[in-house]
Parts: sequence; C-alpha cells; structure tokens
Amino acid sequence: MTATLSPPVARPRSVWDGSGARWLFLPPAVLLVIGLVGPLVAVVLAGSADHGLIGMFTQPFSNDLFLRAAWRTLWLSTLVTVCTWVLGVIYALALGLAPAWLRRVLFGVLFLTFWVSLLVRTYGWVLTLQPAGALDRLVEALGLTDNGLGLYQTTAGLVPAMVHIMLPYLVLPVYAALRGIDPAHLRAARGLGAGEMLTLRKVVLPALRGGSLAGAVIVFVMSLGFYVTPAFLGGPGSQLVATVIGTEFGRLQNLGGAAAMGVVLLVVTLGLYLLADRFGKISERWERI
Amino acid sequence: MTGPHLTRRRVLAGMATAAGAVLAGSALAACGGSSSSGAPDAAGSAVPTGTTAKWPKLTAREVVLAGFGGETYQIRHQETFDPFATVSGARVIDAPWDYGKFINMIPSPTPEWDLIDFDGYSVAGLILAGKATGKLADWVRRCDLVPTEYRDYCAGGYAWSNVLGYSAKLGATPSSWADFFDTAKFPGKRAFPKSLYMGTVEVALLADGVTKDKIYPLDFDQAFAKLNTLRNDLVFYDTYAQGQQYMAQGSTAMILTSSSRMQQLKDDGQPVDYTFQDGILYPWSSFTMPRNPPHADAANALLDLMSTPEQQAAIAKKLHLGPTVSAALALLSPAELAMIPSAPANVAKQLTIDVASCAAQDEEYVRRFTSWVGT
Repeated sequence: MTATLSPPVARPRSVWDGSGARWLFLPPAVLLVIGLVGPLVAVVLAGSADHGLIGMFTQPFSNDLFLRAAWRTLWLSTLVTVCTWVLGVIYALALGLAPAWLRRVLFGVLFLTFWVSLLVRTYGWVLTLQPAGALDRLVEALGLTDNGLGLYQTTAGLVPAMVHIMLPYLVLPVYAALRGIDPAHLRAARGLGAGEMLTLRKVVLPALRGGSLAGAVIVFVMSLGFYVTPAFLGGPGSQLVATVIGTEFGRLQNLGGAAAMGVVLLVVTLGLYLLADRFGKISERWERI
Repeated sequence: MTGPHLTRRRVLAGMATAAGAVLAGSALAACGGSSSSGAPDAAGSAVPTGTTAKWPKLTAREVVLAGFGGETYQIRHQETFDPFATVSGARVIDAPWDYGKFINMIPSPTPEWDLIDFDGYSVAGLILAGKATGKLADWVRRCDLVPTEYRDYCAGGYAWSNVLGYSAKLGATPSSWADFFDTAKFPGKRAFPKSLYMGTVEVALLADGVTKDKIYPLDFDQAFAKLNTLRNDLVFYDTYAQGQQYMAQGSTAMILTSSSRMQQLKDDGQPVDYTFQDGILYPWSSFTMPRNPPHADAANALLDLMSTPEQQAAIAKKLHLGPTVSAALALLSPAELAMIPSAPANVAKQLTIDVASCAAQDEEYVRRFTSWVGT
C-alpha cells in the first residue's frame, strides 16, 4: 500500500504494519469493553427486557416523576451553564490580565477545587448551607437576619454549588483561547483608536467564542447527568434525572425502568453533544488545551 | 438501624465495614479456638454456659451476614460475633445490606448470604406472599415475643422505635406529633427521613388526630395531605447519621428518628432529648436466612446464640434496642429499661405497628412515599 511507495524512514510506522505494537491497543480495548461497552449492553438489555426496544424510549415519558425531573434538569443545566459561562469568561480574563503572582494564586484556587474530591466539596457546601450552618452563622454575625437564609435543599442553594464545581471546565478552554490571541491584534486595535471596552468587545471576546462554546457544552452535558451534588444539596422535591434514576434503581428495585431512563438520558446527551460538535467543532477545541 | 431501603452511602459504609471485618476476622481465626459443641465458654458471659450443647458439630469457617455497618455493627461484633467465632470457629463476615438482592437469594440454591438484618413485617409479607424465608433448625431456641406464626422463621431480632426527638433548647417540651406539625408553637426546621419511609405515614395520621386503634389500614391520601402542610419546614436526611448531625449542629429543632440514635446523641452530651410518647414501635425484627444458606449449621448456631436472654440483654444495654425474648427483660435494670422501646411502660405510650397491615401495604407505602418525597 502507501507504505511501500514512500521511503520507510521518512514516514512514522503505522501501528497496524505488523510491528507488534498493535498489541498495545489490547489493554485499553479490553478495559473499554469490560468497563463501558459491556455494562452499556447490559443496561440496554435490562431496559428493553421490560419494555421492548421502542417502549424503552417511550416508557420513561409516561412517568410523571421522570418528566418533571427531565424538565427541571434541562432548565437547571441551562441556568448553570449560563452562570458558569459568564463567571468563567471573567475568571479566564482575570487569569490572562493578572500579574504573574496573582495568576498563580488564581490558578491555585482553581486547581485546588479541581483536585479536592467532589464528595468533599459537596459536603463542604452542605455544612455551609444547612440551617444554622456556616453561612447562616455568618449572616447572623453580620446582623443581616436572625432566621437564616433557608438555602439548604433549595434550587437557589444548589446553583452556586454546581457553578463552583463546573467552573474549571469552562475556565480552561477559554484561557487556552485567550492565550491564542495574537498580541499584535490588540496593539492594532489600540493603535487604530479603540478604547478598552471596544477592544474587548470587538477583538478579545470574538476570539474566545470557540473556546467558551467548547467549555459551555461540556458544562451543559455534565450538568445533565450530575448526581452527587444535586442529591445532597437539592431538595428531594426538586430531583434531577440522575437522582430519579438512582431512586428507581436502588429504592424501588425497578431495574428496567431505571435502565430505560438511563438510556434516554444517554441518547439525549450524546445527541446534544454531536449537534454542538457539528456546529461548534468542540472536540477540536479540546485538543488544543 | 433497620430498614428495607438503603442509600448508596450506607451501602458503601457497609462495604468498608465488610472489608474491615475480613481483616479482623482473619486475625481472629488465627488465634481463635475451633472447638465446637460442648466447648467451655471461653468468652465468659458473652456465650452463656450450655448454649453450645445442642449445636451439631460445626465445620463452616464463616457466616455471611448482610447488615448496616457503622457503630451499631462494631458493637455487634464485639458483643456477639467475636465470642461466637471463639466457640464455633466460624467468623461473621459483613455484607452490604440490599433488600432486592436478598429477595432474589431466598429461593436460590446457592445464595451468597447466610443472614440478613431484616424487618419483621418484611418477613411476614414474604410469608403471606408465599415466598417464605429460610426456616430455623429445630434445635435453635425460639423468641417468645415473636408471634407464633412467624416464630419458626425469625430469631435474634430486636424491637425498635421511631420517636419524636427535639432540641433541649426549645422553650417548651413537645409531647405529640401534633406539636411536630405546629411550627407556630415550636419554630424551627424538622428533620425528616427521605430514604427510610417507615413511620412517616403513621406519624402524619397521629398528628391529624386519628386515634391509635384507627391507624391501620393506612389512609395514604389523608397522611400525605397532612405531610404537605409541613413540607416547607422539613429538612431531609439520607441516613440516621445525617439526621444526628442536623440535631447536633442545631440545624433542626425536631426530628423523626429511631430512639436508639437519640439516646446515642444524649449519651454524647448533646443538648437533645426524645419522648416515647406516640412513638412508632416495631415490636420485633429478625435475622433472617434464605432457604439454602451456604453455612446453614453455623448460621443457625449464631441465631441460637443471638436469641439467648443474655445476648438479647447485652444488645439492649449497648444499643438501646428491645429484646425479642421476654426473659431478657428481667436482666435489665429499671434505668436500662427506661431507654428501651419495648419496655412495658414505653409500649403503653406508643403505637405498635400492625405487622399484617404493614406487610400488606408495604409496596404501596414505598411507592407513595418515594413519589411524595420526589414531588
């Protein structure tokens, strides 16, 4: 094939050319089958065993609890994505503009939250928000209110926590895009008389569009399937799809129903991702980080 | 402690305990005795003299028990399972509790577990549904506080109660579930279970003025209408431990939880108290076998030990759970009895659940409660 036509030394050898290196693919492939494909097939089988292949996709929509949770998941994910987007772009700009020592501090804070276990961060929010918890004590000490804020197990309390956990996923691609801006463009804009706001609006923000879109899609997709934080901080009356699946499976022993809901969530998530990738070239953006 | 439905976290905690138990167990097996029948009672009072006389020769090296882990199970190991290993040679291995898993194991020819820490009405419900759990061996002593129709299936269990717990810092002392629902008289949040449903409907009906003799069969519509009136004042807990944390932190003014958990908080010096008045009493539970437990003789021997008055009294003292053997009550001091849900004086104050009704309505109870919590 082509390998015989080109000089062998000039071209990196393909892993498929018989050198034996292809066996290196075996462990990850086996892991993928055992860890992802196998369970996925089991879930689809469990879902279709109870409701049939078509019924598996229609059955969850006849469940009132699932419908409400699906609607709530959609708008909450949108809200979290918008908040994370605004906050993340500002954070990334601060990272880009700050003096070196401040940038190190900002990166430190960002990565610290990234490295601390999700469960620990969520418990931190529980202790902060719960009645008579840290936040209530603070506002009481400041003399703002004596009755506490009542944020625990409410959506208003859940959103900041979700934004906090999602923030790094938006900041990183935006910061990568920011680093990619040619300083000459900025000098040109200033040289042509644009003020700071105009430069930001016409030069910087358009250059960040791709990176922030990549981040926003990731945040949105992750929010759709978020389990831990909503389970602990959201009220049981404002469950998201993932928590409903957990209840169906663990508490009601409804394996078929839980599997069907899981497959619907997976299909919707994949669909949204592919759509965003088609128009926003998300995967290419992530390769640059 | 007991409850047919568990959270992921408790299951994980159970797994951790199980892992610990495996390590502890192997150490124990290394130094523990292996003599079986007629062995001298090396562990002293923990294994009453003569207990092992009726046991067959035991060959199993382990008994697998699905329980709840945590402090409760540490105490069970110390009080019961470790001494049992010494006289029987079989160590108890903890498995993570799972209702659905056990249901599948009941008829299985090769189940994974020997025993599960189970609710009385669950056993009753299974018997009524023709899916009876494993029968006790003839030589296992029976628990006389378990009704005769279930006595051949249930041993080693305990009585427990869900009660009104409250902060000692409240101005007045709440004394009824009506007070629990009265946020004008008793301001503050109420801690309420969200994974463990039992008692919640009974409590709402009592607060709504239904008399104790009219509670069963449960009127779910009335109960959830009443619960809706309190909905905005509830803070939900996932595990008993989280409920305890709310009370210790002062997040909630009152709580619906098990009496033994409130007693633990009191023992730790927290400013809390509880009342047995209108508590929901579960008069007996059971350590239950599938029909073909892998270590049948050793599992039966453990049940026999757990049903001795001495063991029942030891658990009552340490865990504040009620004995299911009447002779054990005589071994408790008046002060210890006062903390036990099934002591006669406390029984009089409480609502004893109707086992047959709970068994018949269990499925609807779970479904209605889960959907109410999720609304």
